[in-house]
Amino acid sequence: MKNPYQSLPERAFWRPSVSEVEPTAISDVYRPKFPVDKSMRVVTQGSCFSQHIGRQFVTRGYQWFEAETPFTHFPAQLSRAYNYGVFSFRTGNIYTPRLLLQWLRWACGRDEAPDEAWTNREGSVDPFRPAIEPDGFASDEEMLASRNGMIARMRESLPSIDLFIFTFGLTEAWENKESGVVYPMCPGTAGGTFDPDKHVFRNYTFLECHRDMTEAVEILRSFNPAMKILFTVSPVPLTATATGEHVLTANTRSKSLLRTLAATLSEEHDFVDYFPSFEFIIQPPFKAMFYDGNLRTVTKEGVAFVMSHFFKAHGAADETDGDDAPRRRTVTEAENDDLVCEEVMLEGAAAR
Amino acid sequence: MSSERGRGGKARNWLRLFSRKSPPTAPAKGKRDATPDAKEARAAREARRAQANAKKASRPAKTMLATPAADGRHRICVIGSSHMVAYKLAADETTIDPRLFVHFQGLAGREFAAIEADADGIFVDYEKLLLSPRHLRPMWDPLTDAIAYDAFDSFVVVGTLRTSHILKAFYEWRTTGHFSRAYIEAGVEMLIKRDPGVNLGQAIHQASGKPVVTLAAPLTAIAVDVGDQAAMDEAYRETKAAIEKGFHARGLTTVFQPDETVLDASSTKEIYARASQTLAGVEHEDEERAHMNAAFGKLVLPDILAAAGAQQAETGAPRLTSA
Repeated sequence: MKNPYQSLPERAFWRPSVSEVEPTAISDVYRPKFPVDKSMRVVTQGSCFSQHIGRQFVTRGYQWFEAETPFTHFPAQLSRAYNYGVFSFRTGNIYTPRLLLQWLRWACGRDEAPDEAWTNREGSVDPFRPAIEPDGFASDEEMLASRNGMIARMRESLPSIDLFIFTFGLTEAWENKESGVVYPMCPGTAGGTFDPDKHVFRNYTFLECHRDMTEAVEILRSFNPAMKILFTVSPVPLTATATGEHVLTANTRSKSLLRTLAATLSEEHDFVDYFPSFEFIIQPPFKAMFYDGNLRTVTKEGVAFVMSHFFKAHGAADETDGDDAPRRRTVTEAENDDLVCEEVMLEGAAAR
Repeated sequence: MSSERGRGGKARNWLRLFSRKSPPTAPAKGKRDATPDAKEARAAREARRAQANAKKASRPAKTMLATPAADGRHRICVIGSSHMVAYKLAADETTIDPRLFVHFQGLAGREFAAIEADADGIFVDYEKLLLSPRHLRPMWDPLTDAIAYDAFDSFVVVGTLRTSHILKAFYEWRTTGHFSRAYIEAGVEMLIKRDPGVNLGQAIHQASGKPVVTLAAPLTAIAVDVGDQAAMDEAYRETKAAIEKGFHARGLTTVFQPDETVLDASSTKEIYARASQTLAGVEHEDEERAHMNAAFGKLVLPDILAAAGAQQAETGAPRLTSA
């Protein structure tokens, strides 16, 4: 009698499907649980890398949902600076499961967003979207109205969303000790003032992340019981860690936890899937060739490679020229290279 | 095409060798320019520029526009887009103070952006014109001659900045709450900064040191269903203030359409768009509501001439009487 491995397909073995194959020819890695097609209304949220995914959906003519559109007659080049067309909802980056859950709890009315406001030299800053306006808001009132308007649009539109794609970024975050709210950025880095008596560092455990995401999935499905959910893990390493560990090990801790989380959620729910963008960039066959010189950000070619696997798996022909740039308009070279990543602001704190 | 010689008159041209300096080299832009891609792109740009300069050098000598006789008249050069037609028609149909010399010349639509100004004068960049899909359309009086700054005492640029778009931005900010104030202000500034008329006016002012009046396009003559009139009134006030501020920062003055031509602070009254003409002298189609007619021009032209320094004439403000 054969042992179980003797009847497995080639893709189950490293040597024939990975080490003996030219890296970009590695195939059949992603087998979707459910189809994704152009009839679906798609949301992309999460860390910086999810911006690439959103752009690719737009470029290929999918129904990428944008809750807040820029003013019709303004030049498109202004939009990115004000975070229009970056994520489906104008939340800025959502790096952690806890932050996603917080936004969703506010959207469904389970919690109420606090009136907390930060200030910087230019004006009022939203603690939960610190870089959403490059020069801040004119007043706290304007900031709160903008945030509440965004939450309202989230509430109104989620019932019509067919596919929610979320890219996990990291497990580290800062919380407010008193209110328990979680911030996308440490107070004092992108606005506000750090207060050690008020702000506490958290590196969420797997159990915490799983609990948060279980509730997040439940909220999303309460908006639309037919909604499909797709998770990815960002291959972009941490800019900095506040754990006291070396950033290399802290990065592995964050990414491996989130990768496990995505796998667990996918195994628990038939409407949840995982797309391996993480593996396509970080695994040994690719020898870091899809990273820029900083060994952190992903090249255009890397993004195109990753997304070609996604769309090919969904039966869509390669409809782009591999350039991850255009989205309903011509994008300049500078814009193309500039993802909106608040976390990069932490680099300013690094010793030179 | 000068108002003193009437329609169809021949301009007296001086011949002067036309030469244009190469634009200054752009400053270094940081590390992105150091990448191989950026170097290649820069090299390609420089090659294209060299090719364009070679083409220009091989062209026949450029004709400079005739300078009006120095007889004490205040000389105003109006350079415009298709929105200039209303003012030219007004000038043709009225008698302008004999102490003024007013000259009109322009290019319509996207071709307007091919008009440039540098230290040598105002001219058409034919490379840009050739990029226009509608290049060299027959038109009423294209700007084919270079204009020397010495030939005029002041300049007027009738540009293409869409006042209606700026008004809509401020109105939406006031009524929808969708946008931050900073976003609206940044967008309006970007519209002004990118407007070919503003850029041309600024370049003329910087190169000549002479007064330049620059006009935004009038509000379109399509009635707007105003939901909140108070907000629209305030938005229109803000629109004019933003344009004035943006122009002033660039050394330009401006003139707005008279209130009597405006309906509900939101559009130009429809009667002022009837039977408007193109730069080619052809009447627009009936439903066209972006361009204004001679009646509109007659109401605005005195203000334009006054802003262009016509009040320096002995009798004060310019006098316009019906012909």
